[in-house]
Amino acid sequence: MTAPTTAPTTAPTTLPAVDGAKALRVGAIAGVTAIFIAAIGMVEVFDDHSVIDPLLSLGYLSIAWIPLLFGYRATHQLVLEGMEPPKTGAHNLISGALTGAFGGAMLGGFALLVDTVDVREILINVTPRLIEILAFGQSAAVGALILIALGGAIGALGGAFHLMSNHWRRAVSSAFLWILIVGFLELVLGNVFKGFGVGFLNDVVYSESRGITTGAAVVIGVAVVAMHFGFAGSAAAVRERFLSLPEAKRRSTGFIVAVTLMAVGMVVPSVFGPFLNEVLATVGLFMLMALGLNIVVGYAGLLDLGYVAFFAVGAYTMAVFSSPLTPGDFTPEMAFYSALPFVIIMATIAGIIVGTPVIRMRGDYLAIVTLAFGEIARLVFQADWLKGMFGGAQGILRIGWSEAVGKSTIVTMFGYVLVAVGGVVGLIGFLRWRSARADDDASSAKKAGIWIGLGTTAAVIGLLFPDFASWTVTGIDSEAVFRLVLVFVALAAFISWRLQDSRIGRAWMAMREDEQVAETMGINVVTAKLLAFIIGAILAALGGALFAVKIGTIFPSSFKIVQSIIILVVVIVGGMGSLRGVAVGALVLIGVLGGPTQPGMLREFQEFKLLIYGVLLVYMMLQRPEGLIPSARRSRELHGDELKQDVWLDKDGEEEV
Amino acid sequence: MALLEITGLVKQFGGLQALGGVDFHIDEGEIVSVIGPNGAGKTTFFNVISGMFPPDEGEIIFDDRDVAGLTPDQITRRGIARTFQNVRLFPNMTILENVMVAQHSRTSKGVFAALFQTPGFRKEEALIRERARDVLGFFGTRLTGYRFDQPAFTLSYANRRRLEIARAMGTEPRLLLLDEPTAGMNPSETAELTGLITKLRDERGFTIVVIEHEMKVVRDVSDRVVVLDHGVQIAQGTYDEVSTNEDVIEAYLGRPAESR
Amino acid sequence: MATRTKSQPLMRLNQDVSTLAVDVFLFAMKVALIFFTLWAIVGTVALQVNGQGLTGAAWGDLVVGGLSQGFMYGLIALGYSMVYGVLGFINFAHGEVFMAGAMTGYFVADALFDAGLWENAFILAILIVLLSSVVTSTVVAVLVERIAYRKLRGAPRLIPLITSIGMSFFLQYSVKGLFGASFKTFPQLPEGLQNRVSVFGLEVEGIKLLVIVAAIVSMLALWFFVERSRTGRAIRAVSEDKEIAGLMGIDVNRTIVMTFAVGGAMAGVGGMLWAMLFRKVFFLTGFLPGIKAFTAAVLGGIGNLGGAMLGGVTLGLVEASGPNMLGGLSWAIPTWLAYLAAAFGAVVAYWGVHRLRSGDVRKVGVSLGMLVMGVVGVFMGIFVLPGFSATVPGASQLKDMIAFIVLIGVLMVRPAGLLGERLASEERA
Repeated sequence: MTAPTTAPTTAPTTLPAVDGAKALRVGAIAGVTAIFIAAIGMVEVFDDHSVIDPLLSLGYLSIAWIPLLFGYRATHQLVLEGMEPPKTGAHNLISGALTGAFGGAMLGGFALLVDTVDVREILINVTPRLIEILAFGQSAAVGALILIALGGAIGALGGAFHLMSNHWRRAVSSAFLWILIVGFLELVLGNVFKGFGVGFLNDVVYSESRGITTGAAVVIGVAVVAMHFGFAGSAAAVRERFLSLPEAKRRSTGFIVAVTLMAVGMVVPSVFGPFLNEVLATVGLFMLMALGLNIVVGYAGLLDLGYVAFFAVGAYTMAVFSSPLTPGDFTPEMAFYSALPFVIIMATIAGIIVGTPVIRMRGDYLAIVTLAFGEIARLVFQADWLKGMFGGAQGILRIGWSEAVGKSTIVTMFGYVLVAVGGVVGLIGFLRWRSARADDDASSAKKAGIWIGLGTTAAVIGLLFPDFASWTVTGIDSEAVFRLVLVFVALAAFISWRLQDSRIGRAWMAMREDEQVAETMGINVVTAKLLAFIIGAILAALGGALFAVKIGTIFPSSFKIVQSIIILVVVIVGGMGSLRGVAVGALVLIGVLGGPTQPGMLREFQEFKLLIYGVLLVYMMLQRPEGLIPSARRSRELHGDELKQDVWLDKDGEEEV
Repeated sequence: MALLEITGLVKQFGGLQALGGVDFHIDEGEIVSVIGPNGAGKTTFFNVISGMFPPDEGEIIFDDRDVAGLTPDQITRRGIARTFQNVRLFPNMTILENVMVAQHSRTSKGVFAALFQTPGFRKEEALIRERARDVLGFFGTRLTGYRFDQPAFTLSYANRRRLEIARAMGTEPRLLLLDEPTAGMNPSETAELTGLITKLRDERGFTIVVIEHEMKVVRDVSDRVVVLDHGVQIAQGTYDEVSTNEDVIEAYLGRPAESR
Repeated sequence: MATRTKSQPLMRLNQDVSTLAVDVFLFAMKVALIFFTLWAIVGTVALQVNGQGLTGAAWGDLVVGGLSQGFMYGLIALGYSMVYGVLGFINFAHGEVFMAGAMTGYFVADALFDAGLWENAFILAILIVLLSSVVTSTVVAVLVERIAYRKLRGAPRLIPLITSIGMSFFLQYSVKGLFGASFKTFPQLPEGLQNRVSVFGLEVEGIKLLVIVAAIVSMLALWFFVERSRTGRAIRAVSEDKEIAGLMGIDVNRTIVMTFAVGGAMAGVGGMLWAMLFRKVFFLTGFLPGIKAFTAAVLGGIGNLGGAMLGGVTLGLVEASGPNMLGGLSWAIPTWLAYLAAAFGAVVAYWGVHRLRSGDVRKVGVSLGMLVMGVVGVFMGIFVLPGFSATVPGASQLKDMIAFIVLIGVLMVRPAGLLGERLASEERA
């Protein structure tokens, strides 16, 4: 079995022999992974959710990917530039099969073992039902044999990937991926189909047990492969064309895309059901906070682990200012927007309080101290000591309460929105007019005059009819809440986008790259860091305020460190410093898995999502520290070892004393 | 009148005396080289002037004001800029951005101006860009054109050195501290840079202090040479004076055995 | 030589207003921290003298409780300290290594209890439990290093920190998935350990005594290991300078693994003792003790083994007596003391003015802070403080907060810790 490896260099024409030892080693890891996934109860919990009905349930999928991946890895070789590509052939299949079969054998052995010895006392999730699933309804021994056979088969399939050309490999992988995506998007697509009056598609594509039908899976698979060959290169061409656009053009294209997405986001909730809208609202809240954290971590390079503190400050400020049931005597009972300025003020203060002590600390101490602040915030809100103000463990009820509606409510008066927008437009117009006058530029001055006129008109109309078309959002109406949250997300994205390429954005970037040098280049790191903290705090506090009104009731237990970590995962998986990355990260992670307590689209993941977030964090740091959609700049800097190879850039190099 | 006037500068690390009372002065428009054997305290000297370490004792009068103990950014704002011995760029920022950052203390627009893109903000951004381009243009075409938008880590070693000088120039200083600008360069690059240092003074009007090991460069650029050893100044004068000074030769070569 | 004017009266504040404001604010935070600490201590002592405080026995209990807790913090802190000393990053997952030890302790003890060994041969049983806890924690620590950290050698310091946070989550929720979220209750200890024994005139619960003794023994063992054994020397060499140590023929990778193993073993001992003392273990058991142990490591001086132990004990004592000390705030400040504080404030304010006048540009922020806080002190001392007292209801809820404030306070006032930090040369920032 353990045939010795012949060095491939000796005879380039002969295929390398099967490396049995390696296959078994990889197989053992695969087996342990599979046993782990089975033992934590994933297989059983996921079993009811089919992916491809009736072939594959999510339960089986949760272990079936293992032989596939490890079967592929068993003969995977890193090919560096200029190296001979490795020979492929039967040995790939055999190694893969061996790996898969060994992994299957381990899982089968585990099933046999727990079938004879009851371990439920310790491993509480190893239930008879799990054993039944692993045995495919047969006896445990037969089940073990099936596992070995299946493992071998899937492992060989994994190995077979080496035999395909790059093009085919990509086509087949994306076919798999798309089948899974369509399967998982059952909830979304089902709603979309219904919303657009093609509800019958639901019955065609999806089965009763939430998965897609076999027929649909085949169609999608074939279609994706066909597309890959039909449109090969055209996607790349579009990308190429986009990249070749001049910078200004590219920017405006990006802007148009963003506005379009925003419009789609505004429309989409109407076709979704309440559950999906609830998920979307959660996604929006986390996107808002992730954008804020992105400024602190991604732009300024300050690892803030206590970000939840600002979220809590926002929520509690909103609660105290807007709830009629505030525990203390201080009960202003303000409306949402009237309380918002106070939220911003309190967030600024909190940002200064947390930011000041950590300014001169090195990065990792900063992380731990902010973490401590995060916990302190929760403890303060929870303590009996300040119960008279924050209600202790009982929290605060009826936030943003509207007597008339009888619910937590946000009323947006469009008149005032007009006043605000008109004011800004008018102000910008005035500034332009002034600078145009200084430059003696008549045409610019005329244009500026139009701005001033428009702005003033809008403001006057707004003042005359403050409550025309006013928009009432109640906290339980998740569809409207999502739209409102989206407005705030857009605001946060706009702030991040504008700051990125400004003087202060460059200062943050320089500080992130080398704080000491940034200081000698004239950057006041004290104010730069504080500013990052404050802006991040304000965005988080806005998230907290929205969260408070949406839920209507807050308890200190909603503000645990877990929240900070999840936001951090979103930022890191998306790509630190990358706006698109953070947005996509929030959409995918929070959308699919959900927030700390809020469910995502796949409700089954509820129990396991924190585990998955942990794994994701480790995986990303090891494999792709720059994130899925890296910002252009960030991509290289995090691969520390690469930089270190570069002797001349070695920051740690000894400086002469 | 002296642009920079240092008296009795002392800096200790633990028990180690890195600077033991250095006196130093440089006049407007002068180029002074600071030389000395390894460990003589030259880089510490720069670090203290540029504010990276506060001095333990002594005065640093720059442009008639005591700057000792100010933070590096404040010192930069007053008009002293430096480069580093082991080139420290912002590797992931583009070449243009590296120099644009240096304008930080010469510009003022804050968050709100950036958010609303006020005319003042746009003008300032345009100005920052223009100045950065101008500074980079000083080095011929090496750092210009398509290079503007490339990240700094893509540059060759010599170009990194040049970019670092450009970045220091970007802070619009009056006094430029160059820490071994030719280290690691080949002879032709060294020769070119030697010319550039003089040009920096003649065309741009900088006053320059150079730490240098390459004696040819020292000879070619310096109006005056200051020799440090064990944290104290052991000699100063023109290149010829210094190069024949016995203390200096001794510091470099050690005391001849027979003379003891 | 150029002529120049000698420094002017009330030196030009030629610094950024924002920087100065931040400096002053930071100074004010430090002063407030120190003020409240002093008030709490003096108040507690004063109440004690007035006979309003706790009985001596109650204090004895607090001290012993604090010591036993503190020694466990110390045991965990060793792991943080060693890894920080050698690799220069915070191994956030170390709390979970500790939790793994505690969990194993529970499972083995439970099994032994069922087998009857617990009652019949307690010493043997406890040794088996200890051994299995230590082995599990060591294995977990080494595995974590192998899986997560080895690839990250030389990466910027925040990368392994983030990785370790992920690892910490992974371990927590793996344990939750595998063994359930419920509290596991450690079997009843034999009579002998529950009873109080008399040591140095103090009535001490047997188990706490056991914890303290076991911790001291493990600490001594570790000390001998690090100071006397070849591997220990290698660890010290690697924490001094990895590159040079490698050139000297030390297997750096093996040494780093050993560091994790030793730290893990200590956490295992701590975990097992924790499970015995508190008799409740669940998947989040490692989180708070982990952060507190890190606090202890920083408090003692990170990278410094004696410091870790000292920091742990100090933190344990502060935490145990802290809520009581908060009670000291209810002591009304006597007028004479308030006036004394005012006088002190006046001195500080004058001192600040003096520093500003002397034209020392260094630390203008601090001088200004002294001026401001001195004036505030005078004002408070005369108008507010006489007779002032504060009551903090539910002070025991603030126990965790005290630990966090200690962390922040130490890093603000003395980041090198009590005994000073010892770090590899390339990690000193």
